[in-house]
Amino acid sequence: MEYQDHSKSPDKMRLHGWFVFCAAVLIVLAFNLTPGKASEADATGKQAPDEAKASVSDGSGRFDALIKPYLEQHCIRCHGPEKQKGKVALHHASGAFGNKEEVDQWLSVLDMLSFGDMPPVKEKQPDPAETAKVVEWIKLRLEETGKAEAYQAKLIAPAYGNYVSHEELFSGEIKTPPYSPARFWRFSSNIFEARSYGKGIRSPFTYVTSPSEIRDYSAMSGVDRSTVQMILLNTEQWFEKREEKGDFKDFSDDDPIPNDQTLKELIQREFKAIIRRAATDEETARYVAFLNENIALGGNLDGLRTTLTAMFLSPESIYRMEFGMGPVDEHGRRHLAPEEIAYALAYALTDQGPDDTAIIRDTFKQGTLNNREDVARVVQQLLDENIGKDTPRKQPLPRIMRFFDEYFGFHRANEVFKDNQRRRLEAIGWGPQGLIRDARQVIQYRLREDEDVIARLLTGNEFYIAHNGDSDKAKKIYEESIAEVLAADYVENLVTKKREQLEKREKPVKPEAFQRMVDDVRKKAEASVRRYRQAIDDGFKPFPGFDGPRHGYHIVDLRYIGSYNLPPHTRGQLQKWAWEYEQPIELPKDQRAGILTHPAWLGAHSWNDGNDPIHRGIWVQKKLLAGVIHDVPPDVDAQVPVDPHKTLRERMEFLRAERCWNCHRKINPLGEPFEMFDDFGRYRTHDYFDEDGLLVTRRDGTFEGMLKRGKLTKRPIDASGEIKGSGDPSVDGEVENAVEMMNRLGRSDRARQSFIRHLFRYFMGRNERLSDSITLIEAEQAYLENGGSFKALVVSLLSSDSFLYRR
Amino acid sequence: MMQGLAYGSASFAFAPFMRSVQAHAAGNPELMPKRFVFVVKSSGIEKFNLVPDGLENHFLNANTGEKLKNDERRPGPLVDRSLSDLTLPEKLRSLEKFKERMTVIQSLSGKTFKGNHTAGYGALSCHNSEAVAIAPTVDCLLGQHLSTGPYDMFGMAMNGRLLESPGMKPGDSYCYPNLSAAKEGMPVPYQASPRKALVELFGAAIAKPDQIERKLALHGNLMDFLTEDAKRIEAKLSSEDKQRFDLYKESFESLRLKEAKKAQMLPQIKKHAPTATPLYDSINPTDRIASHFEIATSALIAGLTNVITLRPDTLGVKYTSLGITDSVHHLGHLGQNPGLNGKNGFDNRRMVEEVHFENIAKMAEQFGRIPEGDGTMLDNTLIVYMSCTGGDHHNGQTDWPFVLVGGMANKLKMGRYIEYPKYQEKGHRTIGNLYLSLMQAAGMETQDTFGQLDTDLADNDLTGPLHELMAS
Repeated sequence: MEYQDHSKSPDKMRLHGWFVFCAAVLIVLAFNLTPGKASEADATGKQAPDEAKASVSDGSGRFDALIKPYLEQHCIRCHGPEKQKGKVALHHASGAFGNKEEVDQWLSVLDMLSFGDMPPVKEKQPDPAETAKVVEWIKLRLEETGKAEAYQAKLIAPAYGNYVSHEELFSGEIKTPPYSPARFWRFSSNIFEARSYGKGIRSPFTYVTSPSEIRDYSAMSGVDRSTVQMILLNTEQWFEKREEKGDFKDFSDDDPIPNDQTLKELIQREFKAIIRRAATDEETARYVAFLNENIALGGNLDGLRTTLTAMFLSPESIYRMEFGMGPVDEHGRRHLAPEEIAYALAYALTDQGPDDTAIIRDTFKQGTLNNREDVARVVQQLLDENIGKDTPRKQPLPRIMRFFDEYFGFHRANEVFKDNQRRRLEAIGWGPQGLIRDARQVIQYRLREDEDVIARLLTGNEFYIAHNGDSDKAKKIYEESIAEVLAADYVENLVTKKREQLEKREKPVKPEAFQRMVDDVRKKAEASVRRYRQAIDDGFKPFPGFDGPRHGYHIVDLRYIGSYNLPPHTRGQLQKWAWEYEQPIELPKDQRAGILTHPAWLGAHSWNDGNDPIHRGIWVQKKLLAGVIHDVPPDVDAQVPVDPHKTLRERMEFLRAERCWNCHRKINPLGEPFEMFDDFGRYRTHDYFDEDGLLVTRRDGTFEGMLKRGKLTKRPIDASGEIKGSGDPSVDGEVENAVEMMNRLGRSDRARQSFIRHLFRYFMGRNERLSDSITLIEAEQAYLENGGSFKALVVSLLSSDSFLYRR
Repeated sequence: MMQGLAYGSASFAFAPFMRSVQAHAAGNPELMPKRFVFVVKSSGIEKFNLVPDGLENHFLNANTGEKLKNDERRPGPLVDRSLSDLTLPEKLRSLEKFKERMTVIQSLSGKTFKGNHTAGYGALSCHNSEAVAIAPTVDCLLGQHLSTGPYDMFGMAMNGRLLESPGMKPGDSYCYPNLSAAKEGMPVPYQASPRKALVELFGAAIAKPDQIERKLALHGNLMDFLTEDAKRIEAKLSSEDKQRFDLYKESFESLRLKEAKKAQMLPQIKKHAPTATPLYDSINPTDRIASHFEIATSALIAGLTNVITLRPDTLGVKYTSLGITDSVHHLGHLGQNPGLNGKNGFDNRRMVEEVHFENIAKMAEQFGRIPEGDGTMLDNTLIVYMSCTGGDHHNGQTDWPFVLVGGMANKLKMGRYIEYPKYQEKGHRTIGNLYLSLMQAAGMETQDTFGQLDTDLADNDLTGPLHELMAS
């Protein structure tokens, strides 16, 4: 590897030669790598069996011989001339794949058969080999008739990641050498924002992927007209601020045209500021020529503005590129060149280029970032030094925690609005921000442990509550706070400080207001002393609060802890819970088991007025069982009927009707176990009904009164459910509630593998294909062999062939 | 090359003013250009003082005459009355001459669109998402359907933040007030500075010919450079990636077209460009509002866009020129209590709204003076006055008031006071139904419902437009 320094600044070597290198090798690529080569594989990366290909060469002949009898035997009774269940009729189907309706119908059949959703479970099931032939026939007909493109386009979305057979992926039978397609990838908003172009400059980049899946997929990242317009507006604003600062004072229209050296230096400086690497000589020359043209056309300042706008809009300001410019192996795969590795690694773990991460930059400069071993060593070092050490102000590897946000989705708890009236009636101090912070601390803790990480995340009952995530620091803050508040002059000190502050104001404060503000401080300080003393008398450690920049967090009171079934208090109230600086703390084992029983996750997967068993069930099915949920049929009315006499589970009973149950059987039994919690995340055992049989959800004083007066009847919560499709008979089966479900499923092979599949998607920016089988199996092995180490898992994925090779 | 494109070679079926001329000649109101102005204030619009005199006021306590709290609106049947028989409340007096051409709508709900003092994007998109654009908003949808000029929709705002720290000053550049979205993930920036809005929209009119030429030449040069730059990469992409890259490349072409459209409209732009006055640089909120209205009026007349959304205030604004020294936010909390100027919260809030109505009246008057078809431009332009948070400073989304002024090619009934039954009562309707009415009146094909539906209204009809508002 040769490092070229075009910046002419020997004191600071930067990674800038890669782009030139890219361009040169791409010319070779353009001849050797044609998309056609990859097209022999379907979207899952699996090669079509020759036998199936040959057997359908007669098109409709094959339809009459194989497909029609299959449909007649297994489908037509419910989807034929007499009945058209789900408005589907297949008796007129042909092998022509002529119009859109026909193609759509076959696509629906393909989905249903591929994942065993049809015929319904209670019907006689066809021979799997016969079904496989029908599936292959549909896929081939799609290709033959040129209709496969839309289907394959759909399958690139993260929501369809599980369409690749889990059993095959982990079977160990696939020996195809893994690789990722050569690609260009639009920068994420996080990368844009990390560039800090200045106040008011907002990222023009947005995701089109579903918020409940992994977001940043290369093939789904794009730039359209509106994005370009936003970049233009940003540039205007950026230029204006720079102009105000006097950065372009030599470029006023009244000045003579600056000399070539000035122009060259300016281009090099701005190129570095905007594109974040040093310009090559060729690039400098091209931009200087462009600047000269613009100055001639529009004067100094507008000429410069136009030139810098071009930099902001250049492909390299918008896209990262991974073409594979290293050596070609015997399978036709191209290894990433060292420069490409440096960029790919930096963006896999951080939001900045390789220059900003010393280990990557230095390894690259030393010429030791060339192969799998080099990459593994660098990643290991990065993780060892940084993982689990995030603070609010410093996240050295921000992409690690973002994965957990995107995978679990608990970070969206704040987006679910719980209205004030409900909060009042249900007597809850809903604090999603605090809950999200708590959940992240649990993850940080598990990452620091780095043992059996996936299972512990999914089953552990150790939580952080109102804490800064560092017990030693928490203890120190606690002790300082005790000393401060219990000091004899605490109140008077605060009062004096306030007086002095008010007296210093330029505009004198009116005497009444002055006294009111001073009294207020005294009242609050006295309340703090009272609370501390009371807490100590009750045998508690007074909660010190973690407020302001000094502590990095904003946790002023314990009003939000009701979501953990703990007694909350606000700043003015007395403490009722034994807060500990030594955390994590264990919550009751029969109430909590893992992140899915954390109030942040439960809140994020709820509606504003109650639980959301459907999305919780879909989450478990897709993210722990690697299962497939089909798109909602267009004629489905997704409304759950309103009936104030019934529990949500009872109101959803209609989904057990045959029409709905075919899909909902994969959802409800996995989502309903979370009915053991309310939508604020509180554990509960009973539902309550008043004398008119109306469900009572309030938990305020009125509720207490009704309960005391015997005006309420209670019924135990039905949180039963069932695990199915884990591939392990000891995991499958009925469960009493979510805690039992998580304790079984969370330790299963399937959940572990499903987690790994999602982590793969996150780092590769694409769905896995069958040809990634080796990568996934090796990642799982690395994880297991290292005692369930998340670090080992990341090292394995980032040094895998899927990450390092392109085709 | 670019200059050629910009000045001559781009060809459009009809520029906005040509369409208007053609429609005029044919006398067919269906073909008239249709326009919307959304005026979206912060902090809610008071409901009780929008009720015409003589009607039972369901927003006041029947015994004490005090304003009722949110959700306490008294029940009552649908009220659908002609304004001609009624006396407008004091707050609307500046609109007296438009009595026959305005409709007041009360008690629509959008309860599920929540947020911190604002429903944000939810107010116009009917989605529960205050700060993230998760769906297109009605103003942008209308703009995409109606606009033939260079801008689908144009927005001007006081600034981008709602809850400002003390010492708020109006913004001086682009900002995101979290109100409009062209589509999911694509929030629309608004211009805060009147002078910059003027330059962007009417720059061609205020520039000297050589300046215009310079600008176009530079723009052309930029587009050429970028197109060439893109080609260097394009040759190396796979066919799938190329499709994505095409969108990026095509965007340069669309920018050329935008400039070309403006160049083609130069006579119109020059004719209707407002003259910049020192008011355009004033940071006094009432001056800023007046400037935004003036630019909006001219932009619509010139045909630069067919939809404009204005954000006249935010919570930190102090209407000092009205003698109000409390912020809009503080006024929202005052209620019956006196503010720093001695007037109570309701009176102060009324004074603020009156400023907005005065600007609306002025705008309507100008539209009313421009002949179009058999009538005037006002017949085909609807000004929609509303708040991003409904009918109160907090939690006002169960009774969301709207004041419509103007017309929509006779498709909407104007001159009415319509008050829907209380939330969850039979006959209650939502803001989604109003937006469906606006879209259908503008000739858009719509689905049965708009946005997310309120599951607590399962027993109410959430489909279709407001029948009381539709002319036929």
